[in-house]
Amino acid sequence: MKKAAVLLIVLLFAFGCKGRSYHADPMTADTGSAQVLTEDTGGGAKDGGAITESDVPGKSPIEGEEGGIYEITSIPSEIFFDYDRYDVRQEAVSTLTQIADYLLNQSSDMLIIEGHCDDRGTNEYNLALGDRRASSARDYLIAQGVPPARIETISYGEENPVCTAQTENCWSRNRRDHFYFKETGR
Amino acid sequence: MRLQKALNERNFLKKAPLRLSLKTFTFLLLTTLLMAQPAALSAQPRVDVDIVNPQRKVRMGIDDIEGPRGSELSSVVASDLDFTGVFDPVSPEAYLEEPWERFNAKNWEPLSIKYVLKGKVSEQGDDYIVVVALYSVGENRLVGNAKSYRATKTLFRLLGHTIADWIYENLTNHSSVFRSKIAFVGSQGGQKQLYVTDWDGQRIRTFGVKGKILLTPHWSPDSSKLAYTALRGRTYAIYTLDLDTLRERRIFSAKNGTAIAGDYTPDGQRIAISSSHRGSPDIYYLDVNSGRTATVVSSGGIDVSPAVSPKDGAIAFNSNRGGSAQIYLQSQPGYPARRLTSQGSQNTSPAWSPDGRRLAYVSFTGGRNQIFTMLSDGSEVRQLTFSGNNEEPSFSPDGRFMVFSSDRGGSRAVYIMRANGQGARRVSPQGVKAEHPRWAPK
Repeated sequence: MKKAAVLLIVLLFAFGCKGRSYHADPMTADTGSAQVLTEDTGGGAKDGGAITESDVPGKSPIEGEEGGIYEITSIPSEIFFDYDRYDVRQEAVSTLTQIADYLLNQSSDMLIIEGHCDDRGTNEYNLALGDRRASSARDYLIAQGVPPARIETISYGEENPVCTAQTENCWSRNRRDHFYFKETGR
Repeated sequence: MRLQKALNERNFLKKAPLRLSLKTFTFLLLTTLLMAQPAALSAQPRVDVDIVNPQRKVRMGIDDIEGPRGSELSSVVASDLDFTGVFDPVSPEAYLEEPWERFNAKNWEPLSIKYVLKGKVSEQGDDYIVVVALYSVGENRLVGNAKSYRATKTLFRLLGHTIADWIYENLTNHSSVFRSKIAFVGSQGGQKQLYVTDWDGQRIRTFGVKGKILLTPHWSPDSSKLAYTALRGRTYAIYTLDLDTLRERRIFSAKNGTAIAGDYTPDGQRIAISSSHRGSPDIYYLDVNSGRTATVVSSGGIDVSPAVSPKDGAIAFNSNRGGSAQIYLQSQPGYPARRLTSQGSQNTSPAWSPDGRRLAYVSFTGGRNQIFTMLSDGSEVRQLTFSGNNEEPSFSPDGRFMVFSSDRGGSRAVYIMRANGQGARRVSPQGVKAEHPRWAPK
């Protein structure tokens, strides 16, 4: 986890310091090799020279009916909420910042935010609560500059729990937003 | 086949013209000749179901109806009457009079039985014809007139329910729930489906309406349609299903938001919905024909679960505007909403009684969800359920029963009970996770 964080920070400096400068999609890089990333020569980079890496930043694809859905291994895929609340907690800010950065500086893909709840309210109330949890993260990202059109939100209420025990431990794991990315052009 | 069945059911209950066989005619003739004149239906009901204080159950003699499957018919009648908690059908093993013997009050008095059903059923092609008579032991004569019904054989159970309803109406001057239906969402192996069952859990049918998530079916006031919420792909939408034509129509969808169907308005032209298409979940009226929406309740927080009073159209709903999920009442559009619930950390799922006087709802108490009732001003709070998690109450059309979902049996299933909390029994099938039940208003 630490290694990945360090790598991420290095990448951030290499790519993101001057704001939103996009790079050639690694898949279509001139070199013909999909694996070499070129850096922004615009200055501000702490390390000089090209950075090579063995893979495109850790995409782990998610199986499902739709293709092109993935998570980033170096970015946490969830943030959590207090009971019956949907305000973004302080602990969630770091994750949201990384997501904003990915969307703004590393990819033109879409973000899908899923809102979830524990099962203590009614299904309807929880569907609405999950909706507000997803919107809440969405609003935060928009405030960071992410265009609204690149974010899709959906609530699953209490319908897709990760666990079903009637304990605070399980309930707190269910009170979450889950983040997925989706390749554009699909 | 299904369509034919549905049509039959809607037309059924035009009472059969009395085309009688000689046997039946003789039966009736004997009955009327050998008795005194049948008593006229009096204004005062023979059995008063409106009395609040507990009273002794009325003991009934439900004699086996003579003829093919007659005892099954009697069985349906006995179970229906038994569930009301008002009648006590005595077991036929104790009877002193055979089904074919002429009614004699002296045979029933020793068992403290007050009313007796006797009848005959015969087959005619694809139909059953049944003639039934209800006797008063105390007066030693018929109550009202004998009754005849004709029904296609596939509607056998409905025939039994109809006879029970006739008895109930004769004795209490009220119509019963015995011919009513309940809708719910069931899932088996992940896929959710819309189900409709007779009130007693029999004749369960599905309609092929599916969704990854399927929620909140609501009946139109004439019970010909169901409105519901379905998630298909990643879009929530509100659909209606016409139960006669089995056609589904999408009437509203919310991209990037949730749209949840609530109650129909009493005129059946609009559905109250909760939708977040303008940012936060608010309550709107959705016109079922034009698809247009009109804002009813809007706040910065969560406004959800609109329940429309069948009496005056007032809207009870769920809101967290005060900091926690509570139930509010907006008596008219544009008027400020009033908070109704004052006890408990989370109060949700309001449902009106048919007379618009009471609300059933769910309160989180003692670590569980339980069903409560209160008057429409928030007073007279009563807890009805105590074991397991009990949610999503919905009143029967006569206001004397409720259907709800519960996990008291281990997994989520649909139960019915009397409106005072007694007599709970499961009506959804074993092995199906069942929730979101709604009792049809007709």
